[in-house]
Amino acid sequence: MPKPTIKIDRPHQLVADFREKGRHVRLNAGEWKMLLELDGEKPFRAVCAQFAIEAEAMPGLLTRFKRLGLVVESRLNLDEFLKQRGLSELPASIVTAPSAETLDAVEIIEVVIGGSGPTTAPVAMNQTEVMEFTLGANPSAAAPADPPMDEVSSDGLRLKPLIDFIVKHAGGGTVGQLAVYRVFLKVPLNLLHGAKIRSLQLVDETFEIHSPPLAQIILAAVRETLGVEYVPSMAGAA
Amino acid sequence: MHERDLDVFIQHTMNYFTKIAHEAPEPRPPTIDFSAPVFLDFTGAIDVSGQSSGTVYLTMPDRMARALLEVVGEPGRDEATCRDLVGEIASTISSNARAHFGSAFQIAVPRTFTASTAIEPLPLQGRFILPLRWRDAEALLVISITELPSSNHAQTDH
Repeated sequence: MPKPTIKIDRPHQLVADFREKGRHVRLNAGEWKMLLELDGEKPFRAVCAQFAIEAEAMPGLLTRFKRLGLVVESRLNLDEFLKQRGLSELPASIVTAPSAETLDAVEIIEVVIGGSGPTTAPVAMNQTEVMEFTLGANPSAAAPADPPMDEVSSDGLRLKPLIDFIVKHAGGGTVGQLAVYRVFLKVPLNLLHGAKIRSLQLVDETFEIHSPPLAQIILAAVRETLGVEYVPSMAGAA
Repeated sequence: MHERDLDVFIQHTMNYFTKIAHEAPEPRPPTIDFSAPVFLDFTGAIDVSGQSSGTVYLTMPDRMARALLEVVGEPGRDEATCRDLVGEIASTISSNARAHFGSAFQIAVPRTFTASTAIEPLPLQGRFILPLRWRDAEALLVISITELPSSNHAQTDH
């Protein structure tokens, strides 16, 4: 059986529930400092170097952090990367080719380096595992078009059509988006975090809720907030 | 609070910019965030209580605060003046909200703080974050409330 590779030359970052897991782990202060330096960009080796850790010790340290479930290798999609930089969109100065597939990650990195991100409360967070999806169109825009009739696959609740339904039913625009907020206020935070949902923001038409209890609670929240039943296959009739 | 009530805070914020800065900010696609709160350089916060309770706050980068001070003709650009500015914006929004809601909700006197002093006991449930782009900077209007069970269909009479 091949031995797992410890990739100290790759960037790592804290897991989504780092704050919670950290409560049950005891490390020395230097190790905590080092963990909090992991930003999803710098290679693990570079962070170790900041703390004058010898190269031989680095793989063992990374293995230990991984075994404790505190870190993961960094993988960001474009939206997460922009969010990490405190940007909601690509800078207006970016010119993209007609086909979105031609924009590669290297080009984006060149643009956002040097951008200042927002200040957050001193809570270490992982954003690479965040599932994000749209709240609909721009606040000033009209309600979205009718979603297709087959929003729910056999094994999950697709959120994009659900959100579009809420926005449309509540009148569209900002008011509709605030209705989505009210719906999700009724969903227990631990269930959202359990589904790796830390933020609802961008289009992700493939995202589905696979937890039946969470799906049921979301549907109940829609019913409670809007006074209507969301029937996924009939969403277009809203 | 009904979504139309929450929208009051957004509309009054937009109005403030339009009237004072003569230039409405551009609302960007909002997010609902379930992680740690985000505070930029200067924040003006309005606490709301009643059937729903929580905080509505406008947080902006230093660059935007200074640009707004310039627009309103305020010669000072120091931290205290920037803080006063967000306090004034929050105060205007809260006054308008108070007039709108009447006795349905209690709107407290706004608080201000800087990023370094922001330790907010915000509700943990989730925040509605609306980025507002004005000139070359982006502020965040954040709504962070909790609802009592009976407020599901509640809406103030306007």
